[in-house]
Amino acid sequence: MFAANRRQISPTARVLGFVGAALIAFTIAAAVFAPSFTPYGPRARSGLPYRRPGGGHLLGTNDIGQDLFSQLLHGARVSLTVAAVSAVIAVIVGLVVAVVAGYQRGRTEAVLMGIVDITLAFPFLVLVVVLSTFLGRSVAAMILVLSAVLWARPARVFRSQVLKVIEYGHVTTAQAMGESPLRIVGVHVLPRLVPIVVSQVVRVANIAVLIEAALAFLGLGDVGRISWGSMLYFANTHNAVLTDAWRWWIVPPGLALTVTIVGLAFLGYAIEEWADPRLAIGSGPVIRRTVVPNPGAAATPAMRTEGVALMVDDLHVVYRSPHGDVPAVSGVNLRVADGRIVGLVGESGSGKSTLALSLLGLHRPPARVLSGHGAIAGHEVTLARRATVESLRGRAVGFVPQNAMSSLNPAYRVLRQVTEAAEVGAMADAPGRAAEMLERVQIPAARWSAFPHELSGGMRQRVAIAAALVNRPGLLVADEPTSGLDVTTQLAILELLIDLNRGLGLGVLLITHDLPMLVRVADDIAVMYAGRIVEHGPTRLIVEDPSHPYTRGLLESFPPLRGPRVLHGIPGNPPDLRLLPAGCAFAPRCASAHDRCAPERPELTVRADHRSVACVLSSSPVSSSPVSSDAAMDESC
Amino acid sequence: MLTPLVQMVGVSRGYGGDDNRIEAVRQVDFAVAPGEIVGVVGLSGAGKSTLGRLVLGLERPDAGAVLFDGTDLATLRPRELRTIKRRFQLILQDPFTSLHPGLRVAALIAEPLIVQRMTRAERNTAVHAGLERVGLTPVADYAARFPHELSGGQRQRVAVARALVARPRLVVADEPTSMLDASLRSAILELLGVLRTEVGTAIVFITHDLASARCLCDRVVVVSDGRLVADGAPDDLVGTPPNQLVADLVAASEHRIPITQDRIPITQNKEITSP
Repeated sequence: MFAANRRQISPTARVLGFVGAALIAFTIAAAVFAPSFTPYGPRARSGLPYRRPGGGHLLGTNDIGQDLFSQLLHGARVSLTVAAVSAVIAVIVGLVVAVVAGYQRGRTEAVLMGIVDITLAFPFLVLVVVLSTFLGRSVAAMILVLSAVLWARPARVFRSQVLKVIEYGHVTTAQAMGESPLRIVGVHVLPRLVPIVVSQVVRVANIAVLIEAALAFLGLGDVGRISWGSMLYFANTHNAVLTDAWRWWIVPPGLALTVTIVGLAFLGYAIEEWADPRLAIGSGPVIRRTVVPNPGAAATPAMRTEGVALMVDDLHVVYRSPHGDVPAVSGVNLRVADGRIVGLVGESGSGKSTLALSLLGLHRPPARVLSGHGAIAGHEVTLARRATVESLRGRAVGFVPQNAMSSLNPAYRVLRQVTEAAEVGAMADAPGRAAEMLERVQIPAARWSAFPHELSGGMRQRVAIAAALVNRPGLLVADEPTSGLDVTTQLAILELLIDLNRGLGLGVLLITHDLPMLVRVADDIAVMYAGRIVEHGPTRLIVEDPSHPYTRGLLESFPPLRGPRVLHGIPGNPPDLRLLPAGCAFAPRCASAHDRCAPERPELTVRADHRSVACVLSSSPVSSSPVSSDAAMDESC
Repeated sequence: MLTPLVQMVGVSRGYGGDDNRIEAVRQVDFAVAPGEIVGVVGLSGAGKSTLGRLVLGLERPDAGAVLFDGTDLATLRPRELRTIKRRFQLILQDPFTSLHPGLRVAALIAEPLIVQRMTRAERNTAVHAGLERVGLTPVADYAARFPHELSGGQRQRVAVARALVARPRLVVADEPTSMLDASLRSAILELLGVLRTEVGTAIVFITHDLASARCLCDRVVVVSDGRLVADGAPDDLVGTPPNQLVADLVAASEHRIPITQDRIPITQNKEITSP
């Protein structure tokens, strides 16, 4: 899987980090080795005034004959020292204030953040000017001024981050196991602040470079001290802009400032990624493979679409990657008749959500639909051409996405959310139809003017369903519509789905990892594993006599409410789509796997009992009459 | 029942100001014996998680007392409280935020051992054993990984491995399986059982899934609106629910029985199932 033995950063970050480090190293080298690179001292009157570049003066001379190249290099010393030292001091002060305020809370926090607010409330430049007049013009004074002005903003940024971090689970677990506050701050809080601390150092250093230059430019620096700012000051006061002297007097220090700032920014980017390994996700190795859609199935002519809410043939979806295509959905055929509920079940990585999104044209790069021809509510669609489904979304097909209840717009009242969805349908009386649908999903009229956060999770889910159905689509695609809800609310939502399905003649594709939930509502169940359907058939058959070992495993995974207290699971982990075996993808986790499973990928074949199974063990059609009493099902726990 | 390890006496805890105050836990009496696994079952917002935080001393009760080994946690100084907490572990629902993203698996598991002042050699041995016990093998490979290089199920295994090596006296597991694939839940529940048999840890298992609680726990308490509404052996609660709240919970958890019996019979379904 992953080569996990060292921290990884993305190629972009590596390039930027390298360039940034090179730029900064270049600037620092110029500052450090200034005396050896320049034949003249920066203050020595080494030539005639206003000399053009050349003749031993690389950048010419200024109004009193001092060498500009020498000034540029020596100026870097002042600019970089002031920026670096004041940035570090400001960030450390800000960090200490933020951590103490965020961790202690209460009175301490109120006092500290009051000081931060007061500091921030002062007009920035005025404060700088006053302080620097007051404190004098030495380098130390300049650093003091900059730190005193610049610590407050990082403090505020850090504090909000501290408040967020101490809510993280790992901080709570550390507190629960009795770790000391010092260790919690040192191990759990500060490292999580590294990215933001680095970016703040870079940001403050940038501001400090600029302010130092600006102060010098305004004549508030020590005019005897050579810095990029004082070069600009003299250039400006001696009218360099009016002659072409600006080209070697103003451009070089300006360019030096730019190089420093850009270098810092690039370096900051790379360091942030290094500090947070998650930012570099996706750099693991991927096996190169190509997916060839079944050429025969792609050109299915003239299909019968009447009475069919959803029909899709040979759907192939891949995730594009630099290492080749990763198959997410491989040759899936699916049918949902009007008025039926079809459940699609699988673990994470089975491709079920990718399938849902591609049906609606909502998949995002790098996901790409290679093939998939079909029909949605009587409209023919070619899923590889996104436009053919886009116009149906919200009209012929409604969608309840994962976490639908948290995807409602927090600023809109309930009725408005649904009305907005109704307007997509371009039929008359959107508010009226919205109200009708809200009634249909059993939201009391008194709550129609509530905001989403004022509703319970179950209510919000009802609103999301109302919004999906307000234009009376023929098909509803619901992705995990009950996850995050507690059991009684789940039951209520399922009852609502059944009611809508029957009442409106709606076809429902219900996508979930919760097989027992499907047992309660679905007419048919399709079991998906590693991008393929491995078993598909009427719910009762699948529940009472599961044929594929994976289906059996899923059914047994749920702890029984009655009977013997036994726990079963499926060993191993959900498949890694980048590393699928050549044969049956489930074989590595399968207790019944044998010699034929590794080389041979079983095709989905129809059996005599109208169920399809993709398993070499059940390739011979079996006709069995299933037990049909519910009591029998109870005991099969 | 044995002498309780933890005991809550008349504990209440609320949040918010005077005008919008929510009483999350109301006058709860609750005890866990050493080595006992108690399920705390209830709907969202019932006060289950607050109860767990109170048990661990992460929250202070507004009224009543939480006693650990007979000592009122509120009377302890911070340092003393931390010493007691070294024998506590908390396992949280969200495997994606409950592990420090900047630490490798070995360091994550060793955390409680550092707090318990173990030497490096002892820690390494314990971490190795812990990873092996929860099935994250080859150990050397997993020990060097960061959390983002693990799946949700593997992360919860790391959390359990940490609890195993810490040899805690009390673990609060707050919905440890609800964000995992169903196929991986049983494994985590089983490992919690292992924790009790091998370490003798008492476990407070917080869940909204009565069936999971039944399969793991010696005793189940049902929480509703901040109060304990039932307390008993799991099969008794399921078999003869003592009140309507429990009966509703049982009905909602009957996840193998179709909601309606009058669905279209499967014989009319041929056209749909044949591809």
